[in-house]
Amino acid sequence: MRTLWDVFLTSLKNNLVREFIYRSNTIALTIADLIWVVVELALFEVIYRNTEAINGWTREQVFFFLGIFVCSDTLFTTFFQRSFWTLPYMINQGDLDILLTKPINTAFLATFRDINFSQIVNLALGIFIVNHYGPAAGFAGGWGWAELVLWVLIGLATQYLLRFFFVIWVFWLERGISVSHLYYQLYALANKPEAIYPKAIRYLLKTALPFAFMGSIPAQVLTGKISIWVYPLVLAVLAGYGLLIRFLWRAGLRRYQSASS
Amino acid sequence: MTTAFSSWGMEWRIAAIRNGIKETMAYRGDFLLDLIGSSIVPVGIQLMLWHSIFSSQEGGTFAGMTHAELLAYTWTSMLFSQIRGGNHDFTLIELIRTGGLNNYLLRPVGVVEFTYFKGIGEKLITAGMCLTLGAIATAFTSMNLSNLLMGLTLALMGNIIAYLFGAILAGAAFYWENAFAVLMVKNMAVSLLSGELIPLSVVPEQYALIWKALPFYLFVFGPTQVATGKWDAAMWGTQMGIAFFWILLLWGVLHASWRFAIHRYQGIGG
Repeated sequence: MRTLWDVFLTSLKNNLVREFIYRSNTIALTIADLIWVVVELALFEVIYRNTEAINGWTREQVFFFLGIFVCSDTLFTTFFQRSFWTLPYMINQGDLDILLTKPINTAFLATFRDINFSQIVNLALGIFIVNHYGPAAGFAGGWGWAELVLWVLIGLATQYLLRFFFVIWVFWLERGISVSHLYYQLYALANKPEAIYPKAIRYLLKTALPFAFMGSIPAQVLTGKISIWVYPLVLAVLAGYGLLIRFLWRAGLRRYQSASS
Repeated sequence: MTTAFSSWGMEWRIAAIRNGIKETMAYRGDFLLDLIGSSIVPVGIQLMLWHSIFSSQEGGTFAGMTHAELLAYTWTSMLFSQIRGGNHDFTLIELIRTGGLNNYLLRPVGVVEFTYFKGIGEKLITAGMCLTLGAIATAFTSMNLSNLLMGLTLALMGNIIAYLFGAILAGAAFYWENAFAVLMVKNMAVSLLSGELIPLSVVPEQYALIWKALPFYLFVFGPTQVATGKWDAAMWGTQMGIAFFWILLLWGVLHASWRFAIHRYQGIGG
C-alpha cells in the first residue's frame, strides 16, 4: 500500500511539473472545461425559461444536481480521464508491456499515470453551484456537506468502474476502441436528472449502468427525496462491478499477446 | 517546399475520397458502432427529455413548439448531426505537432485539402445512410424527399464550413505545443450553437443574435428546418448563399493564416 501511495505521489509530482511546463495549454484546457460546464448549465437555463419543472424537478434542483455531477466528474477527469483514454491504445498496440514489467499492480499503474490538473478549477465551480442552488433545492447543509463529499467520492468510484468496464473489452476485440468510445455516448445519460427517463431506464441507471450514482441519486438523497436505504444498493452495485472488472482484467491479461494483441 | 495548399486537379482528390471510403469499410464494425452510439443515444435522451417536459405540463407548447414538432425536429436533426464535423482538424494538429507534416510538404498535394478529402469519405457513407433513412421516413411522416435533399445539401455545406473553421484553429499548433484545447472549446460551442442539443428557435430572443451571427447553425439546425419544411425553398436558397459566403471567407482566412504560420514550422514539431 505504501508503494502504491509513493507511486501515486510521484505521478502527481511529474504531472504537476508537466502542467507548469505547458502553462498555456493548461490554461486553455481549463477554459475548455469551464465552457463545458457553461454549456450544460445553458442547456437547462434555456429549458427552464420555457417550463416550470421537469417531472417534479425544479430549476434549482436540477442545478444542484449538476453541481454534484460536476464535482465528481471533475475529480474523475483530473485523475483518470487521460489514462483511460490511452489505455485501449496501449493494449491494442502492445504498449502495456512496459507496465507489466514493473513490480506493481498493473491496473493501478495504467489508470493513475496521467493526471490532468486543468480540470481542478471546475471543482470550485461545482462547489459554488451546490452552495448557491442547494438551499433552494432543499439541501440542509451542515452535516449534509460531509454526506455530499461521500457522494462525490461514490460518483468518482462509479465513473472509474464504468469507464474501466468499457475499456477492458479491447483485450478481446480487434479494434475495441469504439466500445471504449461508446462509454462517452452513454455518459450523456448521467448529466440529465434521472426523472426524465422512463421507469426501465431509471432502473438500469441504478443497476447495470449506474450513471445515476454520479448526480441524480446524490441530489435526491441530499434533498430528502429518497431515503438512506439507497446506500446498500449503491454498495452492492459497486462491489459487483469491482469484482466483475477484477475478473475481466485478469482474464484479459492472460489473453494479452503484447504487440500482436 | 510546397505550400499547405494544392493546385487544381481532381484525380488525387477522388483517390483520397476513395481511400477514406475503403478505410471506413475495412473497419465497418467500428464505424457502425460509432454511428449508432453517436446517433441513437443522444436522440433517445432528447426524446425522453421532451417527453418528460410535455408530461409535466398539460398540453400546450414549449417555446412555441408542439410536442410533435419537437419530436420531428429531434429525429430529423439526428440525420444531419451525423454529417457535420469529424475529427480531421485534430488530425491536422497532430501532423503539425509531431512533424508528420513533413511528408505532405514534399508532395504536390496540399495537406489541408488532402486531410479533408480523406475524411469526407466516411461522411459521404454517413450521408448516404442518412438519405436512405430519411427517404424511408418520408413514407411515414410529413417530410418530403425534395426538402430532405435540400437539407442534406445544406448539411454538406455545413460540413465544409466545420472543417474550414477547425483547420483555421488547427493553425494554432504552429505556435503552440498542444493546441487541442482550442478545438475542444470550438466543439463544445458547436454542440450548443449548431442546434444539435436543442432547437435554436427555443433560445430566448435576446441571445438569438449569438447563433445567428455564427455559421454553426448551418450544420444541424438549418438543414433540419429545411427538411421539416419550416424553411421554404427561398429560405434554403438564402441559407445556401450564406453558406457560400462563409466558405469563401473561411477559405481566405485559412489560406492567409496557414501561409503566414507555416514559416514557423521546423519539421520537428510546431
